[in-house]
Amino acid sequence: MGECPYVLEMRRIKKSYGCQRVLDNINLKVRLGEIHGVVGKNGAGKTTLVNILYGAELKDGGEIRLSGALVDLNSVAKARSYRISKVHQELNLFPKLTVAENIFVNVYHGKGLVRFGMVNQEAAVVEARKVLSQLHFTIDPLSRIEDLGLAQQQMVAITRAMAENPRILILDEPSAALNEQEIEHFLQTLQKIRKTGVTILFISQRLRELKKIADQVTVIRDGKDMATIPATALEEEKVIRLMVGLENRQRYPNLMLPTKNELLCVEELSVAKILHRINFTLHEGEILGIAGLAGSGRTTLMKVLFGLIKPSSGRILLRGREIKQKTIRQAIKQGFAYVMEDRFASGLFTNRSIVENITSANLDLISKRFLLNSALEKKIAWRLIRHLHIMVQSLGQKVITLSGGNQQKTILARWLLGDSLVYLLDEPTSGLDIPSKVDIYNIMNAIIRRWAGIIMISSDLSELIGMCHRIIVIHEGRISGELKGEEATEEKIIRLASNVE
Amino acid sequence: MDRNLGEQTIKRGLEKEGMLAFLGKAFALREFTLFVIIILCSVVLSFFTPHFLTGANISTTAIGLAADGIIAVGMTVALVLGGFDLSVGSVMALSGVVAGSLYLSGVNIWLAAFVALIFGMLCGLINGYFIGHVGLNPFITTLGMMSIARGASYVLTQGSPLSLPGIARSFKFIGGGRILGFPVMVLIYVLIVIIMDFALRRSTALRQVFYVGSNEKAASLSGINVSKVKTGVFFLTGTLAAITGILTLSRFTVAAPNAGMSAEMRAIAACVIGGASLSGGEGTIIGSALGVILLALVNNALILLNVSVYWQDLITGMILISAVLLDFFTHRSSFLHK
Repeated sequence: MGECPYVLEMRRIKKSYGCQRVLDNINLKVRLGEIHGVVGKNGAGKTTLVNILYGAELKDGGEIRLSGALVDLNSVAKARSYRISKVHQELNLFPKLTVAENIFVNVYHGKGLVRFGMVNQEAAVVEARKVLSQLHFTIDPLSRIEDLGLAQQQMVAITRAMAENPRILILDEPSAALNEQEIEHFLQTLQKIRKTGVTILFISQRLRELKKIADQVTVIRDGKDMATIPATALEEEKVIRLMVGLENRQRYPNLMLPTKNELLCVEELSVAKILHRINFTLHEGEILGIAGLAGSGRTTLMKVLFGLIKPSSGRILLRGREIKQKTIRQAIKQGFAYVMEDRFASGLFTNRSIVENITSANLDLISKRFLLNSALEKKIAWRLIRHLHIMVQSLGQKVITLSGGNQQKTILARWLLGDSLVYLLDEPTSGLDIPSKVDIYNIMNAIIRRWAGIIMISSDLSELIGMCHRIIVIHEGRISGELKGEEATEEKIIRLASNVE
Repeated sequence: MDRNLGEQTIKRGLEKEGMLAFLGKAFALREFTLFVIIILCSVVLSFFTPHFLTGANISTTAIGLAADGIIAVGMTVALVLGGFDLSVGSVMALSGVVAGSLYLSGVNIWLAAFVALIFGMLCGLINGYFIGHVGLNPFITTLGMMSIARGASYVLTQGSPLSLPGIARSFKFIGGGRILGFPVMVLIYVLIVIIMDFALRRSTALRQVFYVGSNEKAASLSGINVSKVKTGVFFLTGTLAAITGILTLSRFTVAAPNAGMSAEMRAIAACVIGGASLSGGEGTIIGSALGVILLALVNNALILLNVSVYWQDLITGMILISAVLLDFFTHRSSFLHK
């Protein structure tokens, strides 16, 4: 038997949850030493596929071969023994422990860091410093995970996986939470890892970065592999068509309305050390984009507008009248709506019904003398569910059982119910598949048709350019530029955001 | 096209909700399951002991469970909030002791009871202030209050129960009287359950408790005043604990500093059996009431069957864990799909 060109072959893998078939005879062939991308919509089966490879889930049928040899990966420990490591989507780090403790959690013994049953802390720190520097990460092995930013936490997660000395490294949507600059750095890291001979299986929704970094890309849809394409021949539109099937919807349904009256005006707004003399206006029927790196102050700006943070100076004018946002309640009364980035942590009441999720900010609309009118509540919610095409089985359905796109629509419905004037949307489409994103864009258009205004933060620059009428770029708390819709390009935005002349 | 499909699915869903849904829902509900279990237990019991289905036994059991029941009503709301109140048993004792001591020093018993009620409310407000406004953890805060209220009861009584001779008949009536043969204390309990169950389902104020319990940050971003809601809930648990203390005082005409020992634990157990979740955002008053009834029924059965009382705690614990296990296995399938 000659050398097998494939380090990993997954053949006709099948997996069902109950009667729901998640993987349907899917195939995946990965060559030794390549970076192999896997793309697909949410729910296409990407995560299940790699979980089977990682031994975290059992396959119902099919076979897995490593360098040609048939293997039975029935547990994570077994997969690890074949030197398969994984960086999880949600990182799975221990927030209270140090970087070094996180890196070696699985491999203290293997690295000879244990003496008489006790961990040799000094040696562990030295070793951690070594593995971090091999990947060119500058992180103190003694800092705690909870004190690190998300990008650094991810570096730790990768270092932990690399400390296991893997032959195959699985990355499950590692870049979803990173901004453009951090992604760039991350991709460089991947190149370095590849040079050490590790094969990388890279799951991502971002076609652009796959095109940049991957050798081959496998597109999957509904649990089947649709095609494996060399990254050099990757065409975005074609891949999207493969991912979503026959429908070919327009990505950015940009709607231009004739500019109307000024809605919101921010004058010389400052927050000590974070924002410096911010000035901008928002018009009725306008979508204003805010670009900037994470930590540039863009989220702080949203929080100030919503009354969560007090500005140290400056004025906010709504329709020409100065307003003071002392409490969230006041901000809502004045017509502000805030959709935070993290749906689960700050948006959804997961174990409550979709109806209750829609009415939470407007209980006064559905109550009379301390009592709720549940018939009216259902009617109002139902109208919005239909209007926004939220897919539900029943009105009492818990919101946790909805798909990500429908959950996000539910949160938008909450604010549409109150007829808000200024919508503050922080990464409104992050983590959604492309059809759901398009749905959200259409809802944004419905919002501006009511002559409300939207201020949107997004790390997805093509989305900002596609949807916004104007884009403000923030660099270290100062506005570094403003771009009109038609003149904005990703390059210009990145230059302004990182303040490169 | 895919839009039409969606509309159809929704419409079908709505139709289903109209017709068969009632039965389907009933079986999915914890309350219904509990109700069936209680009926089954009663039937089985009446076979074994003819004494079970007598009016005397039922009314004694009912009076006995009313005190735990009223406390469990408050506890349900606290659990929906995502917290719990460990101090309720002690606050119950303290309010009885305060009323008793005042009475013994010559104060009219109704006035004494009123002052005791205020004391209970104050304990609740203090809990609520520290939890809602300062931001302390409910476990620690109410654990402290539990100790303080219990300690105060012992200090006031020097450790021994105060008997209250010559107490007004009108006051005895609320804990020991009967209307048309029904014990007044049970009627009060039923009334509280009905009002609070309705309020928890329909009142704007208590809906906010569900929001805060389900996701505090999202509730606050929806404009809900989270501190106020929290304070209100602990005010409620304190008030209901004080009412229980006063009713118990009336029933026994004795102010015992050790009244309501581990009532908080029995209440939490009953609420969880009734479907409330320790992680907040879920629970109904009816469910908790059924939980209280089931536990009382089991205890009554043990007594009637001449089983040593020492078995009670052991069996309560087993029922509690079975209920949680049942929850786990019925909900696990939905976790798997995520």
